[in-house]
Amino acid sequence: MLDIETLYLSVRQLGNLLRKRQISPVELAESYLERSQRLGPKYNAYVTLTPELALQQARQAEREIRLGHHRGPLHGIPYAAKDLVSVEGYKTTWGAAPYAEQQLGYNAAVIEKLNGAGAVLIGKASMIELAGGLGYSNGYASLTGPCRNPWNTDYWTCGSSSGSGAIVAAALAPWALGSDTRGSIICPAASCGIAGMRPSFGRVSRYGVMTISWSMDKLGPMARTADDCGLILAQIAGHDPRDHDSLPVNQASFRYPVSTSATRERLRIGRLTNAWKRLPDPLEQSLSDAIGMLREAGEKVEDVEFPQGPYEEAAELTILMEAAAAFRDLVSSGRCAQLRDPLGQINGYASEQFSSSDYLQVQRVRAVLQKNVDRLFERFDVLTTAAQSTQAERLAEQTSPGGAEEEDEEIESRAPDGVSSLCGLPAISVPCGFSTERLPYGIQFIARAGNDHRVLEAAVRFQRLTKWHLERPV
Amino acid sequence: MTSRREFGRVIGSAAASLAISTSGEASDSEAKEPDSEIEARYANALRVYGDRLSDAQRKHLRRILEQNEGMLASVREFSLQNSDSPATTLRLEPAG
Repeated sequence: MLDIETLYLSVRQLGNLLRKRQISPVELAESYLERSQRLGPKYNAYVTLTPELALQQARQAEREIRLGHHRGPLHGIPYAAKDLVSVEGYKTTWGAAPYAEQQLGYNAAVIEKLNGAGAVLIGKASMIELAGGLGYSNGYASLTGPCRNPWNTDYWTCGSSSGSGAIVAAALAPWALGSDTRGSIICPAASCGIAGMRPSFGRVSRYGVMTISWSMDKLGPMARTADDCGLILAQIAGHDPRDHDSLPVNQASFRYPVSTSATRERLRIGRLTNAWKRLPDPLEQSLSDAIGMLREAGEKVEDVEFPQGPYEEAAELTILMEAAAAFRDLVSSGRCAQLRDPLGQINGYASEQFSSSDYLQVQRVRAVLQKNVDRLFERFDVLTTAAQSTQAERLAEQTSPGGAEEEDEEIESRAPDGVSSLCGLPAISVPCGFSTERLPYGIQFIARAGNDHRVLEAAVRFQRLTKWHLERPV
Repeated sequence: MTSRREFGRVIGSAAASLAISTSGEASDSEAKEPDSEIEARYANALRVYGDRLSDAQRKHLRRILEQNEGMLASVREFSLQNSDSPATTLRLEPAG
């Protein structure tokens, strides 16, 4: 078995070792599989391991590399896929009891792409039931139990790409596929101290992937570094006529890295001053230090505010309304009662009460909000703020309905997840420090729709200045 | 999605604040209008699904509907022109 130092290497570093034949795809897959079998249950990180498929793909990669046929940066590299992505021959549970035995019998488009790239699938990552599509209260809302954070197993990884976050943080695989409707990649990436990228809406095909919200769902990479996210995105991006919202051919594909001349430009970075109501002092300090480093490195940073508007409300309403349609059969049949979370068991009944007029009103507001946010990018290449307003959350189960009314918090009407998800903007979270309890903090970069290379550029530059991404759980 | 989860958790208090604020600033008839919409939606949900719900779930359902109404109120307050069309299929702004 390979040593732990090797298993914590980036996709780029592992790829170099594979191409030079200093390690073999088979021993790499076996090492991650052994670690996943041993530690996966500790974190509730997987729904299913796929050792037969992994070893078959690894052996094929080994043969091809030996013959000098290199398919690209993911050739022979193991990964995990969130269990809402269909893989032929395996269950696709959507993290939810009503679908615990579901087999869809075909490969999702993103799996087809990864098979073509020679990647090695070692398992299907655990997730929040239905990716939170019918709502949920805490990390226990999962078919496989609460996903535990490798930095401290009393804490949650965040969700809904919970297992994907734990898998990368614990080096059970070097990268994992996640999905993000409103924060489901960014939040677990921040909580787990890894890089997680939500691409522009329409960049990666969702054919064969569970739907929450047709107009907001995205797939994206979660990995050790931002650079790895770029390598992976270039392999999984592209137009797909089977996905209604797939970007056109000339906009969907993605090259990484971008040209050398573009990478020498100073970035115009807008520091969002009204994204969060308040941040804990250690997080505020980590963010200030991060911004300071970017300034010292020559990037141009100015303060900026998100425009006023009901972004969070519009995002949440869009998800509720579209999810009610996406899961109509589950709700009308009453099988939603099998969901673990008390909110998920009944939320569909409430969401069915929205009218078509409500939906159209939200979408009319959305179009205006989208234009208002886009204007910010006339002045800035990227916007930046904390990826989340807190460290990872302690796990605590809620078994009775409701319980939220005692909370006395204010709505974050311009929290970045709502704004950027509503408007289809690319975003990335990379680690930027630790709380006093040594749980990771993340900084995020957001760019104009279609400018995925900008968020990668900002995050890669930041990671060249820092070593937070080299830290790992004990 | 912790953001969605946190949002669901905090929107309850926001909706309550909105109701207090509305009753303080608007006339009685204006203040009652959202309540009647909540009542109608609650009654319809119970008509279709009531036999599946416990008392605790009914209370929870009502609170969710109140929260949803709070979000709808924020969206309805946003100023629109007649010609503002819906993003029923999200179109991305052209990349710069």
